[in-house]
Amino acid sequence: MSTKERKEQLELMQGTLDLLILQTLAPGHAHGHAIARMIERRSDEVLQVGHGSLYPALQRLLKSGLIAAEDGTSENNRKARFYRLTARGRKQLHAETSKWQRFSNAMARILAPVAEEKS
Amino acid sequence: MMFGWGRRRKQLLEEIEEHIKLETQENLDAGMSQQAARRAAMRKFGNPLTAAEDSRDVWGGVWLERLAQDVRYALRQLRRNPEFALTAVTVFALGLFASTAIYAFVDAALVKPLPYRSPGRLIALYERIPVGDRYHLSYLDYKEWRRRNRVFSSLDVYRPESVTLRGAGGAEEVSGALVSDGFFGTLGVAPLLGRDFRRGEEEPSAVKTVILSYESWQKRFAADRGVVGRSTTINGAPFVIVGVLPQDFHFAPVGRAEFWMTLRGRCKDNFGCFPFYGVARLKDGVSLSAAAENLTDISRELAQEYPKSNRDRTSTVLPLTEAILGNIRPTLITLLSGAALLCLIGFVNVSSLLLVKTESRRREIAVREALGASRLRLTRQFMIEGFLLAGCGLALGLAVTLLSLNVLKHQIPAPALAAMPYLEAMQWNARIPLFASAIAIVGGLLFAAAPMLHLMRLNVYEGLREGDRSSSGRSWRRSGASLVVVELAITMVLLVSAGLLAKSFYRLLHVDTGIATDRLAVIHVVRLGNWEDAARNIALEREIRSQLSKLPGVDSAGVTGELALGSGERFTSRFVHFRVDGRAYVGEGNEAIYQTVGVGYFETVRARLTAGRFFSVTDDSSRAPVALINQTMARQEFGEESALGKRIIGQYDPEHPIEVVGVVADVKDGPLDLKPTPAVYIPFDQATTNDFYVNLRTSQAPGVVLLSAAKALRQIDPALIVDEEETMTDRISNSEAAYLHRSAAWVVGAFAGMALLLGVVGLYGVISYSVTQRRREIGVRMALGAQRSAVYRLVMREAIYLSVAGIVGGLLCSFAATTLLRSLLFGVTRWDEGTLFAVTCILLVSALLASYLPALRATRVDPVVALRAE
Repeated sequence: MSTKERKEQLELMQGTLDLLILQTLAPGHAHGHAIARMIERRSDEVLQVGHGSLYPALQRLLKSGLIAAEDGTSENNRKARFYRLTARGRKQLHAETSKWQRFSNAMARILAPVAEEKS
Repeated sequence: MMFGWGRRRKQLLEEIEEHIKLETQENLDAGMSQQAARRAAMRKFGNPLTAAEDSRDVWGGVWLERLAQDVRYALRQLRRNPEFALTAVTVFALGLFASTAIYAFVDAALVKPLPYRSPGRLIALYERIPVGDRYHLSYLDYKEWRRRNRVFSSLDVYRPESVTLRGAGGAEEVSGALVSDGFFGTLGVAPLLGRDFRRGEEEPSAVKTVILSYESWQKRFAADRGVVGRSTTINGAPFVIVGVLPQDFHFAPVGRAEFWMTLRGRCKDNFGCFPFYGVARLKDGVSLSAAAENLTDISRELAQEYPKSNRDRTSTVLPLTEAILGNIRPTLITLLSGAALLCLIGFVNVSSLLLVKTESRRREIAVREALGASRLRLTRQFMIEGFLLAGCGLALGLAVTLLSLNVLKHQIPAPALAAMPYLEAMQWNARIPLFASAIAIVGGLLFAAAPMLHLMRLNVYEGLREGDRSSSGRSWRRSGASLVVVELAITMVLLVSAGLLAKSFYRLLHVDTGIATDRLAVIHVVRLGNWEDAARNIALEREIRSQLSKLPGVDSAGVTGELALGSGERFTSRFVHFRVDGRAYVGEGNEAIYQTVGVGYFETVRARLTAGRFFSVTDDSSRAPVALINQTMARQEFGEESALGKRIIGQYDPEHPIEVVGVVADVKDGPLDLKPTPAVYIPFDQATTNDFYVNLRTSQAPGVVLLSAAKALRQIDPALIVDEEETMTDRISNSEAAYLHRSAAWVVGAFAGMALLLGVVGLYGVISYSVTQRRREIGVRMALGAQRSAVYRLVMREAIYLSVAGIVGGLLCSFAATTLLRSLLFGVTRWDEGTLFAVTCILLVSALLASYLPALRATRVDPVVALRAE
């Protein structure tokens, strides 16, 4: 990974990883690697998930009962651990999502003129 | 959660491994080589162990796991250096033991409440007379104080009273007490067996009843529960046993009284007779000062209404706890403070050992910190190491305390224990380990703090660099040196206290008693039967004097009603009012010690006659009454005039004025610390008694003569009670005043000795270490031509600087600390120059000796070796 590439990527903000995981799990269950991949892909590789930091986050969500885990087999027939949203997790996701949207809309409105002037 | 983690961790690591494999597979699919694919996957993931650890953190409980890890680490540290661990734990345990053992006494005396119902509301009442403020009440005082006061819910009186028991082994004198019938009710004590005294049982007409102490019931009545209602003979008369007191009951003002009887109208019609002490319970909401005010008013009224008996008499009102424990409190507080200081020195000493150890661990700490150990984690490591040491010391110290408590209790001599029966209750209880734990926590914190603060001062990265020791050495010297100054200052405080206490004790024992106390033996004698039978009393006195004077080893013999250097009730009850014939007085006159003296007594004790003559056999009841007075009385009543030939009048026999025929230099008739007090001496033949002391001047060791004298007395009359055989020297050193002073002096002295040892060892450690640190510097100096004497001066200058700082600091602290000692000092001031000078010299010389060895070592440094070593 060259330095140029790294500059274009964004470090995840503290606390946003949990929300991203919840969002990723909204359509259905997934294992750890799939979650990391999906986050990267859906953000057009801009958001870079430190794969190592995914696991503490998963444990955190498990502990607060927002997700559940069960053993299963992966697409290439290997043992894997799958995570899925719980009812509480789904509720939390909705609440957090609307909060984020309000927040990012507000940020965008504030920052918009500056961005225009520059360009 | 925590215990299931092992399995969960394995699962998580597998999951992570699977994750990395998937990533690797994707990379392979993207066309990377096997090796590059795996490496890229690993890099993307980061450290799997950190991920696992962080996941672990999420679930909590991790601190316990880390704690266990740190404890294991700390244990390993201690095991690696067993001499250090042993020294530290021993010093700690020693300090802890000293404090805890003293605390056990403090606990028994001052912490454990007295065995009465709400003891804080109980009040001791005395009369305040010109001689002192804790004197007896008359029957009039008792009745009127009780009737007129508005502040007490009840008021009762007691007095110590010895009783005579006749058994198979002959007669025996036993301690007892007379009380008013509401006495136990006021204290709030119910008998274990039987009943309390009933209202009216204190009247002379009531049936004679007695309540037994638990001890007496066990010892004399074989703990027979059927004893209540039975009759027993006391003083030759039948008494009905109505009750037995509980085991934990004690009432120090009457010692260990075995028989409790009612006062049965004692001195009911004689207001000039002062037999009692008062005890009262405050009404709810009434304060001590309100009670004192009320009683002062009442005693003023009584002084006006009954000037003949109550002139110059007011009252003293004290909390009962103060009356009982007032004597021992300052001693105990001093001892506890001494122990605390010793403990502190021990802690400081161990702390400086820890500092030395920290110094050698600097690299280890720096490496740990560089590898990412947080300051918190390092702090915790130090805490754990400190508390581990403290914990081991606590266990050892408590074990020693537990084993030695009974041994310590038996060190208290019996007479002292009788005066302080609450010490009997000293035993292991939950408060003792609690107290010890509190000390251990303080110690643990200190141990953790010393190395921590020291390391905080250092730049961590410096620790990694080899060879560069100058800055760390200086920093260490600063930390270590300040600890040593503290140690020396505390040592100084303890030495000053011990010096002052020892000097007080010496002064007390060598106070001018007015008599020659060595080779003087005394025996107490009671003739049974009517005490007023003058003819038989005189016959007995004559017989004793002539028989005992003939005994081998006896130079002379003489009797007295009471003993010189008497104490307790036998002393306080011997005051009588006297006035000079022909002078106008309100009331009975001034109070003086009243003493019956046989022929030969003054010669035997070697009192000094300053005017007139001693008594002779012709001063008998057929002649006009005569007296000797002491110099204090002569000066008080007659000033510069000669007292000889003057006539004085005693309160009990105003019809017969007494002629003063001689003046003696003051004899200490009371406790050693008694101030000069007027005294009147009356010849035995003119004021006989059946209860007196025989004094013997011996030419041999008095202990040997005592045995044959006691035997001779029993031959004269087998029915005599012969007891209290003692040499005067023993009597003085066993007295309560001497006991308290002696134990304070010895214990604080021992503490000071240990402190001196620890302090000096501490100084030695610092100087030695400093010499080791400065080897190179010394080597350079010597290579450049410095003389040995210059090197020697260099080291000694540091030692002297530290010692002087410690000594000066200690002296300043001593001025504050010795205010605590004030009530224990006798005949010395707090800033006794001799003591301060001697103590300063002792500490300075010990400190210089301790620094001499390392200084000597410094002068032997070989420059070549020292420079090459670095």
